[in-house]
Amino acid sequence: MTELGKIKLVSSDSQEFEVDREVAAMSQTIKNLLEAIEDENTAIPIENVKGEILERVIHYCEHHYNHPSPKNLTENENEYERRTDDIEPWDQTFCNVEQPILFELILAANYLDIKPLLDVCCKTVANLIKECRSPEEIRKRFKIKNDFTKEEEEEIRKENAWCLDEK
Amino acid sequence: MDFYFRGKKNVQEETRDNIYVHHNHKVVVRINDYNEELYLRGRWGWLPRKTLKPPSRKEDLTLDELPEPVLWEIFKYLPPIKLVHLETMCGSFNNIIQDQALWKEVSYSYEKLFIWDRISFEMRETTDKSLLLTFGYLSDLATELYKKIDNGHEDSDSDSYSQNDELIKNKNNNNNNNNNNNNNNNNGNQSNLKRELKEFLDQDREIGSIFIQTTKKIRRQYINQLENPKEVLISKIKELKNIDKKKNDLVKANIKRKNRDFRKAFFEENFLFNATKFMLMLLSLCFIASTVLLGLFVDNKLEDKYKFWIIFPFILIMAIMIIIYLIFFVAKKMVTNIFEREEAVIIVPILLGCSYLLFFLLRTLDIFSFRYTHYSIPLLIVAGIFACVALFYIFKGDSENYSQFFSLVPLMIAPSCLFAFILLLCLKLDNVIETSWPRIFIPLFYIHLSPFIALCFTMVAPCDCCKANYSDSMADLGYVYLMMIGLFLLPLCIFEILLVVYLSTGGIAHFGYVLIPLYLYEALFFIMSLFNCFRDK
Repeated sequence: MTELGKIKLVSSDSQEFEVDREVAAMSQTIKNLLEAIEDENTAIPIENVKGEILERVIHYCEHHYNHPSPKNLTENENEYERRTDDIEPWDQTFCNVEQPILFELILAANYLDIKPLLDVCCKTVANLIKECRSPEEIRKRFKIKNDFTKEEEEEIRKENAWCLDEK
Repeated sequence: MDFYFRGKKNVQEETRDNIYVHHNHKVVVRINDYNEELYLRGRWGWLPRKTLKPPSRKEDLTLDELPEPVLWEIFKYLPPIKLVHLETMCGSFNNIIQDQALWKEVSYSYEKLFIWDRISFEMRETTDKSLLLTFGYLSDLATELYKKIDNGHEDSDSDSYSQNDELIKNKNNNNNNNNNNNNNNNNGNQSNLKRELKEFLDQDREIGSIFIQTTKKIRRQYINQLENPKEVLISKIKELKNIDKKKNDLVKANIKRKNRDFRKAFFEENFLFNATKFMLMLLSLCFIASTVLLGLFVDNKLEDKYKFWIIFPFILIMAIMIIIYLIFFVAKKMVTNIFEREEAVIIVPILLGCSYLLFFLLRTLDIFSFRYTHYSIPLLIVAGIFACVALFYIFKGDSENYSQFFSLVPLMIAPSCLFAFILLLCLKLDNVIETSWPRIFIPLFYIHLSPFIALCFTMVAPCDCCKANYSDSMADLGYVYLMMIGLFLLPLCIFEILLVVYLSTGGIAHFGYVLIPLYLYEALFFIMSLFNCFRDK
């Protein structure tokens, strides 16, 4: 039995997490599920997310549930620039993890539909990419495999010659 | 101990020290029994893990393994330049980025950066300072415009120049507020650049107006904002490139025009031909002067010491012509680096002129006393050269040159007759031969026939003057040609006959009377050359 107002989440590797209903509802996916499921005691399986990641996601949600961020932080359409330097310090440390975990967090946030988490993680990745000065640096840093044929690569290089040899 | 890896029980293999766990026929985990350490098979070898907790995470997830929608979420924060970098990374990135929907998502302030990135790329290709300035200014100006659009200001299409000035002022004000990520140095440079550019634009209104039109166009497109951002960007850039070309043309037009004019005047409009015409006119004047002097001399009205002046005008003209030819060919060689084989013929008059100049100098300075026969030596050499060339072509069997050469044969009649006459004259004057004067003059009379022979052979005009000034149509040419020859040859023939009579009889009358037909001929020649000279102008 779960406590009142709490629900049970089960990760893909069968780890169980008890979370406040409200906290879990930060995820649009879970919120929708909760509305569909009558029985509050049912453990909700989060099949796409592993325990390790789910733990982090829940941690994030709990923090932000307790420390709600100012409303204007949400995407402003009229904003002059889409900024990536407005990540809160707590989020920064939260996102300061190894790349694979960060990507899994993104996947989880995407699956669970937690917009602020997704944004924060994506901004972090974008920042990482921005830090790279050359295409080669990006490739090295993110271990991106080159799956082009030689002709394709040549064509792309030609098309983008004007910016590839910069700096 | 059982290992579960990715939800499957894994094959285990135990050795003395280690347990290896297999997954999909690959060893993924190595457990050292001795120190109870667990190693994960990482991409770059074994990675130690302190705990023996079974691995919960699959192999490292990489950026390119993320699904497309998620990648979109990341890419929308990136500046276009980085997107272009990513485009070249792998296929999935390329697909996403090529998808124009993403370009709409990309923050549009970055589009500006994108444009300026591109511009700076274009700028690297140009070395034209004015262009660099213009681009630098263009970027400033456009930033300004964008800012205005962003603030919802719609300024009316006022006169482009006042708008220009207004924007400069605005920019200066904004510089004080320093809002962008430009550092101070940059701003200093930019304002410098702007000042220079403004001066430049003031100087060259044409470029200025092109420039302003383009910025306007960019702005307009920007307002109509981007159904198809990437394409709009590309078209903008293309436009920029076009201005680049236009401006290049404008900037270089003056230099080019001057260059072309010079070349045209010097080479294409046949400078040499004009010079020759002018020289012919001078030459005809010299003829007259010399004839007068000659008449006076032969009639003993001129003292012996003035003998030199009879021939002086010819010497002068010859020297001038040689210099002109030389200058022309040296200049042509230097400017166009072309030397046509036909032009080698020019060496003949130059050689002749030089040799006669030399003779003249030696004679007047009394270094060497010449017999008259010596004067024919240079002519002999020239004739030899021509003969050699003819033989060369004949034996080489170069059919084209061969026929070309033989088409010239009728024209060669006149020079060879002249040569024979001069040779005979010199020999007679040296008293080597005792032939009578009429016989000496026979070759000269043949010369007068030669044009008719030439006409019969090829219908080619005997001299360049006729060839160039009259229509190439054969009938026309023949008619005019006969007229000319009739006009010119008549006084000349009369003169020659009189001269023969004078010489044969030992001077029964004044030599001055003999020269009268020659005066007539020379007058005609002068009028003709004068006409030639100013006809085209």
